[in-house]
Formats: sequence, structure tokens, C-alpha cells
Amino acid sequence: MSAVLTNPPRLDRLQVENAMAAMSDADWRRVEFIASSLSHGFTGFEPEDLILEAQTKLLEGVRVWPTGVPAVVVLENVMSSIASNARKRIKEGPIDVTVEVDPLETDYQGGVSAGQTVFSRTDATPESQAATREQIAAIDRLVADDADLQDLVAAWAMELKGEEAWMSLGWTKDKYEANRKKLTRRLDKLAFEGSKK
Amino acid sequence: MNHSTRPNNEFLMFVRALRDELMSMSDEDVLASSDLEQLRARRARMLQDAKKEAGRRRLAAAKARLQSSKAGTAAVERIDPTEARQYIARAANDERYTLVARQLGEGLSDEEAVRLYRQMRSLEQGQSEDES
Repeated sequence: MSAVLTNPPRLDRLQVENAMAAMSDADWRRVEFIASSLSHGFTGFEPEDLILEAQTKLLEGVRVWPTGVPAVVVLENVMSSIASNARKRIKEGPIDVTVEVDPLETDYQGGVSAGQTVFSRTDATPESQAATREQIAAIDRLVADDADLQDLVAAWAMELKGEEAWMSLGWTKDKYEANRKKLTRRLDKLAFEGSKK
Repeated sequence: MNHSTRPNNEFLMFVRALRDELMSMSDEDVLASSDLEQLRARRARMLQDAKKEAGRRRLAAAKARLQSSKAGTAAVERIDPTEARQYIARAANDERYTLVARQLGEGLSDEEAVRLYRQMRSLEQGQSEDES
């Protein structure tokens, strides 16, 4: 009898369902914040539509949940891909499947075995890039009344995070965390609440 | 070694940074000012809706596969009687079938030609399996 057991590379349908049902309140809220920002300034999806579609694709098996990757990462990954394709559909008509994020790839760098972390997003057509520029501009307008939040948006848009971000901004950790909280609230207020009409 | 490919635009980098920052925030901070009752109700409703929709899509995909499979089977089973006769004629030079083929000659109906063709093919397959 073989003594070697290896984890399957992806969750099966029941495991996906259980993983979604087991998400903590906080993780669900994190997913809502991300859906809000992905939907902001973009008419293709309301935040709830985006979450629902991501859950459906995972349960359907069209997108996979790699073993060991947290729910927030998986759902962000799938939602980003859906939003990317939706932007293309709006700008160009039929979708180009080449923009799909490879469902087995993720950029998540915590708690997963090495070699599973390359994540490519090839959302590179002029039209889709213009659409995402519009979205970052919409977020920038959202914080136009607050210079600190504008700086924070700029830092995140350069993918500066955590200590690297507050050092670059010349802030203390406390100031960074206070503004981070403020920015996520503002994103949620304008986008997610709009979806509950 | 772990490495990540940067998204190719500012918005996607912003979303990724947001995600990572949210994951580094405490649950308490993330849930501040949230109505937990509403949140849980929303989550339960959405999961139910997603399950229903995923089930509907899986069923539709299974039906489509079944239809496609049926069409494929039908295509395999359609045998042209003329081609069946040509096959039987060629078999007349094959020592395995010479006697049978000569006895049957050319006077086969379409149905008989197709039936004989099937029998010969079946015999051939049986023989090749025995040989393997």
C-alpha cells in the first residue's frame, strides 16, 4: 500500500462549496471591498454581480480553486478576470479568451508551495487598457478632496504596499493604516452600496 | 523561487494592492461599521444563487455534450452501401474472405451489403484483438 499522499492540485466542487460556505465574515467583507473597486467607474458589472459570477464559475468548475490558496485570493483572481473580459466585451464585442487568467495560476505568495505563484494577466489591448485607465481615474476622482488618499491611490497603483508604501509616502505606520481604512471605506461606500439599490 | 508577474496596468496593480492590504488588515478593522446580520444574509443568498446557476449551467453543458456525442455516434453508424460493396469486392482478394465474398457476388441489396460489411469489420476487429 502506498504511503505517499499528495494533495490534489485543485478543490473539487463540493470542496469549493464548503470553502465558500466556511468563509469568515471578514473575508466575505474583503471580497466585497475588492468587488466594489473592480466595479467602480465601470458599467459592466455591479459588485454583487461580479461576486456571484465568480462563485458560479468556481462551482461550475469553469474556474479552479487551487489547493491551499485562500478564498479572498481565489475570488479576487476570478473577479479580476471576469471584469477584464467584460471590459473587452464592451469595448470590442465578443470576448477574447486570451485575456482569461490561467485558473491554475495565482500570484498569491503565502502558504502555498513554491512554483505555484506565477500569475499573468494579459489585459493588454489598447481598448482594455483605456478602460482600466478610466477606472483608476474614477478612483482618483473619488478621493479628489483628500490629498493623502490621492497619494495612497497612487502608491497602490504602483503596487507599493505595506512598509514599502508608507516609507515611500513618508508616513508613519499609524498614518498609513488610518488612511488605508479610510480609502477602503470610501471605495465601499460609493460602489458597493450602489449595488444594493 | 516565488515570483509574481506584475499586472500590466495601474488599475489592476491597485486592485492587487488593495487585496493584499485588506488581507493584512485585522478582521475587526475590515468589519468596522458592517451590519453582520445583513452581511450573512447577503452571503447566504448569493451562495444559494450561485449554486443554482452553476447547477443550471452544468446541466446545460451536459445536455450539449450528450447531443454532440449522439451526433458523433450517428455519423459513425452511417455507412454508404456503395462503399460497403467496394470493401466487399476488395475482400474477394483477401484469403480470409475469398470464399464468402465470391459466393455472395454482386447481387447484394444495400442493406445486405451494409450488414455484410459490418460482419466483416467485426471479424477483422476480433481477429486483430486475438493477435494482439
